Amino acid sequence: MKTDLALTSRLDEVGHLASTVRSILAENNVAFDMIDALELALVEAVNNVIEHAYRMETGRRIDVSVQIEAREIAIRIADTGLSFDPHAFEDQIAVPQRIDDLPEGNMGLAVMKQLASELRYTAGPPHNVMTLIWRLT
Amino acid sequence: VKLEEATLDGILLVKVKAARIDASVSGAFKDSLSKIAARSERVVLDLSAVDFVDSSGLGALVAGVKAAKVKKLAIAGARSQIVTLFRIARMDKVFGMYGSAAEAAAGMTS
Repeated sequence: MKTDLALTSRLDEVGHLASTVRSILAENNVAFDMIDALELALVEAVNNVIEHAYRMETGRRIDVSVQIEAREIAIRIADTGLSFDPHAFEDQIAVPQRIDDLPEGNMGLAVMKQLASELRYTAGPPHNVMTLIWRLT
Repeated sequence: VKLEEATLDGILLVKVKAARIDASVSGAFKDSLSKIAARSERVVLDLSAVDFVDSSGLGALVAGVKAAKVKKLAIAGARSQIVTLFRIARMDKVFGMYGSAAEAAAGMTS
């Protein structure tokens, strides 16, 4: 089962997208804790597109597809903005010791990597495509 | 983002009255939190009314407590998705995570 969705590049649209995707996953009997993980990873991916690929420019298109199969769930996020190298970022966030040492940003990709079974990224042009995959065992 | 405050044994309890702390409200959340949290060095942040936090919201939380010069912060009532985010970000190593605001305040004074 595949559902195609689209939104424009505004941070206040991301919550609506997340709500729609939660409904789709729930209707397909996806486990509640997995829905939570998928929602968080999706939101991080779309935030990254708006903030980094489109540099907060509003009105740009983001395509999202949700594919639910017997053995895996895949969410694809496509944009036509600036691409990036996902391997250039750490997979894990450093262990902090004090409040003053805590990071205030740049955690999104590490969060996605920790939540999903696999993260694939192909750079454009024309489209940059991030695919988040959860294997169902 | 509306915040509600109370004090208990000299500890400031701040309850977040919003369903989502995400990138769309992170700037406002940071500003509100830093103003309120500046009233005490020990703060309990009650997230029991919050359904969702993303890494931007978490970053705003950190920026807010840093700006307020909070020395000790405990998180209360976070649902499992939020606890997972704190664990991934390793922030559960710095902030105490408790089931309720009363437990968090007790843990902070013990």
